[in-house]
Amino acid sequence: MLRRCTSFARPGMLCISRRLQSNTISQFTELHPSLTKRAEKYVDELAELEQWLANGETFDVEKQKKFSNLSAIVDSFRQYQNDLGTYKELQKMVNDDPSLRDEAQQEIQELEPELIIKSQHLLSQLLPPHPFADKACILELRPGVGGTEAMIFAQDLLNMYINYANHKKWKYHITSENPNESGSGIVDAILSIDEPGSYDKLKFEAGVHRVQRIPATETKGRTHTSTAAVIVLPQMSEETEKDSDAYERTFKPDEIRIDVMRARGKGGQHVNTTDSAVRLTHYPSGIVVSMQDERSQHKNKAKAFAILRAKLAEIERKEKEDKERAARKDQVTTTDRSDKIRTYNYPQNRITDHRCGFNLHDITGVMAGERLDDVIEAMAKYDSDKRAKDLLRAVESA
Amino acid sequence: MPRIGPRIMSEAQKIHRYLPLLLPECRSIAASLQELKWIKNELNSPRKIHQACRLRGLHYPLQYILGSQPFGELDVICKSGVLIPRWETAEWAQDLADRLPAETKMTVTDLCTGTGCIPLLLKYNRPQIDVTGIDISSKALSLSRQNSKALKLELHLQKQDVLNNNEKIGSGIIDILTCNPPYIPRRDFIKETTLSVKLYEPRLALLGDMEFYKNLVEKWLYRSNSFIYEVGDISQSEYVLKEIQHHTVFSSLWHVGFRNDSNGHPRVVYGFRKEGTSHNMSTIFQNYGQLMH
Repeated sequence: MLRRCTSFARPGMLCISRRLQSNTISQFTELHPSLTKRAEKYVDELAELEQWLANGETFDVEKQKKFSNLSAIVDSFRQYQNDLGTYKELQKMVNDDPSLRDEAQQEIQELEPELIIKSQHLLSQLLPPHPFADKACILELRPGVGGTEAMIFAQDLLNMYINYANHKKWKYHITSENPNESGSGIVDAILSIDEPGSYDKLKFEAGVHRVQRIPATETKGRTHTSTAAVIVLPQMSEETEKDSDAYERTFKPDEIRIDVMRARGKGGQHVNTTDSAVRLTHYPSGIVVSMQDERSQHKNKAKAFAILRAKLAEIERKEKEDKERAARKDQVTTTDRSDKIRTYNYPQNRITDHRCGFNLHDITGVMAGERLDDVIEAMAKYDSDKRAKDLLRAVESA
Repeated sequence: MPRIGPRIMSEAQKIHRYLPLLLPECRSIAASLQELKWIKNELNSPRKIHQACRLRGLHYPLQYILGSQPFGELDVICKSGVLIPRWETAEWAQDLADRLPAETKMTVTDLCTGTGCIPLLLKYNRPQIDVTGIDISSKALSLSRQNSKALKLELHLQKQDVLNNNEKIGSGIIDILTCNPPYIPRRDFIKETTLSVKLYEPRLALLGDMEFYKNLVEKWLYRSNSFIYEVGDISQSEYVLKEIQHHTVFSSLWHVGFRNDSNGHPRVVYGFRKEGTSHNMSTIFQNYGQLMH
């Protein structure tokens, strides 16, 4: 920012900005040695992997993925080290050689911001990746407070995510959708986005979304506030029958209960039902999943098991995260499921993300899925900054 | 069944004009909406959709309208004149398929095969087994042939009267004999079957009492290693149990068990030879149901 100022400033102002800039120079600190060590470990690991890939005849997707991840980290680490070396030399010059001091000072000023960016970039890469970062995801939407308007808003959100997937050219399908009986809005819906890695993008969508607008159901023109909740789950398996059968066998018989249509009468040849609803109850966690969209009972069961599996995985991850946080005695507040995360204000054409304080004035663009990425990226940046700070603090206090 | 009240009818009318047509068969707005969705998914022209809803209003089975019914993992073609496969049947057949050894060759004969759903599901899950379907109805036979072709699963078929010409069916020992015989007694037919079944499904596949169970004990036990028969009432299971218990020869040779469906109704009577079989039947049928003899 300051550098840009100088171009508008009068010559006399220059020294002020220069002085301010020199302040920021002193702000730059080298990455903590333990972090540098971590990066060096990656360098070794990459060398090993390179060796393996050069020798190995077999193609391993996992190893290839790891390779590309590692080389990205190592790349930015090398750049950082390079610049850091130059930076140190320049500083030495400033201190030792009075004849070169001015020139060196100037070079430091040019190098400085780049170095800060590079070190931040490296830091964010050194953060431990999310356990489900490479997974596809499942979005579950439910209306909150606000009656029919909330149901309509839930439907709008569903459309937004579908548009977003279309915009990104991601494959998706609607696993289940229960329309409101009066025809507008949804009672609940489950949208599966089958693109690997979509969980990483959409994980920040989890929480309560709030809408402020004049509902279509409103006759007196008053603005209402309603909410809808979004739950984001990782896809742990496909919705195929084979997967679900194998998964079903991992449960003890007393852990899970499968209910099918309970008809009166004798069943069998006596009745011909089209009802294929399946309800799963998982006793240890209390999760209940109902599925009725498919004509095939078997498919409904497979879908229900896929959802159950995703929910259990998410619970497990959350517990682990909470435990780690407790171990660090973290004071950082986390977003609760009940916290509202975002407001869609139609009269002001504004979307605000309350976690990172990001504002965007383009409701139509976001709802059409074209500019949702702006909001998601702002949130991703906020999150990685926050986690980088946490990491630094943890490393320094250790 | 009670008639649908006018208030619900008018409510349905507001949501979609075809819903009142579906209500008498589906009984609730939610179920009607679900069916309407399926109908819309599978039929493309508005005229066909309207026609389908009108037929549903007359209690005509959805499976005949859409031409198929899911059976386990399979989609079985359905046509008027042949019994529509039930989920209860799929349940026990799928469980049986999962229990069969994955590699061993076996022979399976399915009597009263109808659409051919039972042998096809077994063959789908265990491709190495050899399956045969028998039926007296030519409609059933041509439909099961069509299903076998559509699903690309090999199924031998034979048109035969199971009750009278059993000796003409197959040869040698059958490893597994399955059957979903007509089991609704004439006296219960009007009272206990739903309108849709009564009006549109073939009585040939529905009406019967002990004939097939008697036929099982008299004609099939001596030439098979195991049997699984669907039942409509506990009395039919008990009949088979009693006949085997009191039989001078079979009593010492056979185990008999009962199995309920997940709705809690008696659904299957099964039995297997205690020994002298090339496959270990007792491991296949372990915990399949409750062993009674």
